[in-house]
This record gives sequence, C-alpha cells and structure tokens, in this order.
Amino acid sequence: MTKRVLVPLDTTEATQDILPIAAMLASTGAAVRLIHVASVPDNVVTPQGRTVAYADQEMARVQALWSDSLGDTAARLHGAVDHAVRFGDPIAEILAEAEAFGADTILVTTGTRSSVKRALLGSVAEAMLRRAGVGVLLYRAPRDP
Amino acid sequence: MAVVPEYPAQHILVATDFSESAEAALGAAARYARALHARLHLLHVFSGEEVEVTRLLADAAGKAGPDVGVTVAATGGDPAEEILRYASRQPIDLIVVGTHGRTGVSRVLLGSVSERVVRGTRCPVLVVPAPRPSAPSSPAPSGVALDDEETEQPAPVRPCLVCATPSHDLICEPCRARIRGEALARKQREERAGRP
Repeated sequence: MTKRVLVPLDTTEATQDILPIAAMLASTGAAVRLIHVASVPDNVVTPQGRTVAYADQEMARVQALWSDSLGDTAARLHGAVDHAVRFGDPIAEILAEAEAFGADTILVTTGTRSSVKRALLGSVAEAMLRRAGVGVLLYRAPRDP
Repeated sequence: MAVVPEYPAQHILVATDFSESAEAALGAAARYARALHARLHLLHVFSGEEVEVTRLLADAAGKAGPDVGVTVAATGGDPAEEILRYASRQPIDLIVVGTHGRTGVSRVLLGSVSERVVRGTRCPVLVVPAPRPSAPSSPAPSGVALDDEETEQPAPVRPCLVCATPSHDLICEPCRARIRGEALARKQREERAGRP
C-alpha cells in the first residue's frame, strides 16, 4: 500500500481540489505530508534604499503564515498528516522533500496553468515521473476548463 | 472546521498488457482496492489474435488476492481509446497505469498509452513506476548528445562527503540544507554589515 504520500500545495485554488484524494489516501493508513514551496524572499527595500525587512525576517513571516495554513488543512484531514514549508525552486525542493520524507507517491494537480500541450502534465508532475521509484497520482482539477 | 470529505474510490480500473510494467500497476491497484474496499476492474485490450487472454486474465486476477473483488474485461482495439471508453462507461473512480519502464535517454516519460489516458480523462490517474532494473542499464550510444536531465540515472550510494551517511548524492540532503542555510546567513550578515 502507499505508505508515504507527499502533497504539494500552492496558492492556486485547484490544489484545494486534491484534498479529498489526500483524505482518501490518509484513510488507507498512509502518512501524508503537505508541503508548500515558497520563493526565497529578498530584503524589503524602500525606494530610498532603506532596508525595512531582511530576507530572514521575511522568510520567518512566510514560514509562519504557511505553517498556520497547512496546519489548519492538516487538521481537517483525518489520519497521520503533517506539513512542511520549504524555500527555493519548487521542483528541486519537492524532490528533496520527497527524498527526505521517503515518499513513495506524490499527489500532483495537473493542467492548472496553461493549455499548451506539453504543460498539461505540469512541470512538477513531469519532474516527478523522471524519478524512478516514486509513483505519481495525477489529478486534473474539475474547475480547470 | 469542516473535515475534508474523502474522495470515494469504489471502482478502480487497471489495464494490463501482461508486461512487467503492467504487473507493477496491477500490484498497486490491488493494494488500493484492498485498502479502500473497492472493486478492481482488470481490462486487457488486445490487438490481433490472442488465444491465451482468458488464462492470462485469470492469472492476473488471481494476483489481486482473495479479498479483492475483481471484474475482468477484454476487448480489441486501440488500447488508450478502449481504456478511456471503459472508464467512461463504468463508474470508475481511479485509473492505475504503468510507465512502461522507460529509462535512460528516452524522451518519452510515459508510454504512449498511459500518456493518452492521463490526457483523456478527468479521473485521478496513478502512474506506477516500473520496478527498477536489477542490472544498470547499458550506457548511451556514443556520439549521441546527452541532455543531463534526460539521462538521469540513480546514483550509487556512497558516503556523504560531509557527514559520511550513505547517500545517493555526493553531499547528503540534510548537509546540503545546512550548507544552504549557512550561506544564506552569511550573505545576510554581509548585507547587514555593508548597509548604509
């Protein structure tokens, strides 16, 4: 059985549609980890060149924001669900998290951005499929035209 | 706070061509069917004459295990079309496909059948990786321009250069993360020191 499932979530509403599938997997006893990958923030600088927030402060703020949000979502899923926030390139960080978590399946929403044929699978989904040994559960969100 | 409803997966479709890749998909589909108390639909699409279909399908159905309800079906035609047709006529909630085990320089990530199934349905599709080959695949023919991304091979396990934990990478992920963090902190210190 699928034992460890990684569920990348981003700000698009479409990723909310995969939560019932995550719930289904959790109900089979799988450990589920929700992950959000944020971009590494820059220092916040005013037009006058004064730095009002450093990247690490901004990072802590984003981290706290997403931890709260993912924690709320995790609480709405029954079962062994935890969460993580990472910074950097989404594909690289999701793959790194998959490895660190020992994920055997990654739940991916496809085709939410573009009608370009190649993009249907989504760059994240494609990168996942390149990796031998990790299954990918692809889900096309119903609200996607 | 509203509990997220579970996606109801009561009917799981797995198509088989009796290949090794299909075997892996069947195994995964059977495990899902057992865990979800779902019915497993085992479909074989044949091209031309195949005399042993019944026996092969029965064998495959047997592999699903005694506690999984299995419906078998066989039809002739284009595999992807027939899989999609079957999925639309039966109340299928989840389709399980193999990857056809393509590795190495192939630009094709999925087998053409799997890819068309993924593109052609609104059902969730579980793509099951082919079992890793026991022997490393043969090196790419010389004279072929190799794209790094396309030729990714599982790296051998060796000790991490920093902490000596066995890892597929020269430097293991926890060490890399630490190094990234240190670099970021250093950059921030330097920026702060140099601030006007």
